[in-house]
Amino acid sequence: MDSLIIDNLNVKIDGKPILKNFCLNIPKGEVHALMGPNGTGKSTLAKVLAGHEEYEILGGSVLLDGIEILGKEPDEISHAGLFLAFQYPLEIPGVSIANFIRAAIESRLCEGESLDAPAYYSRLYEKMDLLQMDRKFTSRSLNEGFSGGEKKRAEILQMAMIEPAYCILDETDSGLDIDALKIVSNGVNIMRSNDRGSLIITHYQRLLDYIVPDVVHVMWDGQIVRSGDKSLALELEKKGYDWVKEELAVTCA
Amino acid sequence: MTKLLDKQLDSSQPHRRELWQQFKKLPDPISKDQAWRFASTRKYRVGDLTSTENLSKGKLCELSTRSTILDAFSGQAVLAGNQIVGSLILDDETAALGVTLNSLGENPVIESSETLGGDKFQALNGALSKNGIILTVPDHVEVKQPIVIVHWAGSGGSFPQLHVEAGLHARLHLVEIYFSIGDEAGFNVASTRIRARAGSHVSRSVIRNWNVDTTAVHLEHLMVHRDAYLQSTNLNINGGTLRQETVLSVQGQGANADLSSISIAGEGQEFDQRTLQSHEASDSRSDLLFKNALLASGRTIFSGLIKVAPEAQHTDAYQTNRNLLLDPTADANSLPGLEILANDVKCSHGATTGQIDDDQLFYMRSRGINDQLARQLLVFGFFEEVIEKIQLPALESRIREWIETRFQ
Repeated sequence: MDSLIIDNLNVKIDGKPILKNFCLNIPKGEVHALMGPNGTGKSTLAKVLAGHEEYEILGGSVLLDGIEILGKEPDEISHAGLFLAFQYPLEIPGVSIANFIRAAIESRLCEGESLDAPAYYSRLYEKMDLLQMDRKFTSRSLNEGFSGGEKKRAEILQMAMIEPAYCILDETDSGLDIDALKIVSNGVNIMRSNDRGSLIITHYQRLLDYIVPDVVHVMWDGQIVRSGDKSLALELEKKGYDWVKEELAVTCA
Repeated sequence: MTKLLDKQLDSSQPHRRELWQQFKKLPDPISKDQAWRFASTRKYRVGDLTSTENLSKGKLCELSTRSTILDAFSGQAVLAGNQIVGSLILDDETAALGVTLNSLGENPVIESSETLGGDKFQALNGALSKNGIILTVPDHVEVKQPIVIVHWAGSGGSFPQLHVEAGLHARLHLVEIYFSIGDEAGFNVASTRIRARAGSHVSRSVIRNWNVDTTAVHLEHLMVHRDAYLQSTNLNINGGTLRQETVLSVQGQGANADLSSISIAGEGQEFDQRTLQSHEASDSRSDLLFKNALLASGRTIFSGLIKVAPEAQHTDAYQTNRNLLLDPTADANSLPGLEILANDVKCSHGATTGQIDDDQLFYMRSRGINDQLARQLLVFGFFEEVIEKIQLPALESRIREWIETRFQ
């Protein structure tokens, strides 16, 4: 039950198959890394899990603690406990970080329940301190005019406030300098817990120096072609993605 | 047709008589006329209109209570129809500085200005206005809190006038609020003239929040002198058929003006805004940002012209109209224009019409926010850029409340 189980997921976009019999099991308490060259379907997987309607789902299932989330609305999936940190977070003009996260938290309250505003703000400030975000950010429009690093920190801040059961981080390291990478990784590490599973999607091994995964998967052409421990990431780094193409893809085919 | 109004004309005043003749002579607006293009001109036929009748004492008391919009203000005038409610208020400190807030009573104001097609209505307003308000701020005086003018429209015609004169290096925040008393169909023909003398700083917020049966024409003349700054924000929150004409006359070197607006047009509603940014002096700047959100079958018209006189070198003038269509049956019309006679200027104009962005919506929904609320937050966010310009937190929160009510 305490697991995010992706089973035989097949997804198409514009008639082109992207995910092919994709299978992955992320139990709570574990951090998995999903690596692979561009265009193998990593980001598609992330968006499909979050409920993006642009993709055509041909079959399969995604069970979140035993509940089917595949094909559900994005807000329902979020309430079920899945959080996607976007590769390219959207700018939301005129909606401050504080009001945006507040709306996300309020959407989780039961009917008749109301948010304890002082408690909310003290928790928000606590998480912002952790991510070394200036408190002035709370009144700034979400992501508008933010640097790459600020956007990614704002993603982790949302994740820390929402406290999801499963976190999907899509290329969170892209656009980050080394200092920002450390801060963001620290934020993710603090959230590691026995009650939470995470999937770190990344193109490069370097993020995994800071967020050490329990399991590493290598993806190629819409499916996982090899899984192993963190040493697999190092091997991949050494041998490059051509190795995946030449050796792993062959064994798979 | 206009017999009923005829009776209300004080024909002992030759100036009013002249304006009345003008009003009668000028043709009704037609949409073939470029100045009224796209407008539902039939709605502006004056027909057998009568002036709003004077209200009972009890009603006036009630309106007086309902007119407290801000807790802190330096002065306030409340009008209902063509009548003053209570008395004009200036706090002692402000009065001691020489600021004056008066009513013209039965006296007419002998001044007419360029219109953008609404000359017939300017004549009507001049002929029939009563109790026009005159606000003057002496040179070098800073009015600490806003001066608030509240106008209540009842059934029939109201013809409010507001004249504001900000002296040299004076500072003023003016708030004009237009409401309906109840559900009666009002016909509101208003005129506002503001002169910002050299070096002054005038901030103005206009809130129009009428019932849906109100027809209104508001003629605005904003004159900005040397090195003065004028900020004017129009918030068209609710109403029926509205025509707003804004003539910005940038008359002094180094003058600077920001014009901004929000309009929310829903079913059966039409907001028609015509603007002129006229630069008559060098090194001046003006920036216009008019934003419209359109709901089911709502209509907006924006027609803006930037005019730069030959002597107005080094002018920076910008004009932006953004329309957010929240329903496929909504209709946003945009007619931007430039007329530049100086050769060393920076001018731009642009209009965009779009819908709510699907990617933004997905992003918000992936945080658990439902579709309806996500859309609302995006619409409110779209307005924030304008609301933030007001720089008066107490008023800004009232405006947000009124806007939210509009979407409930």
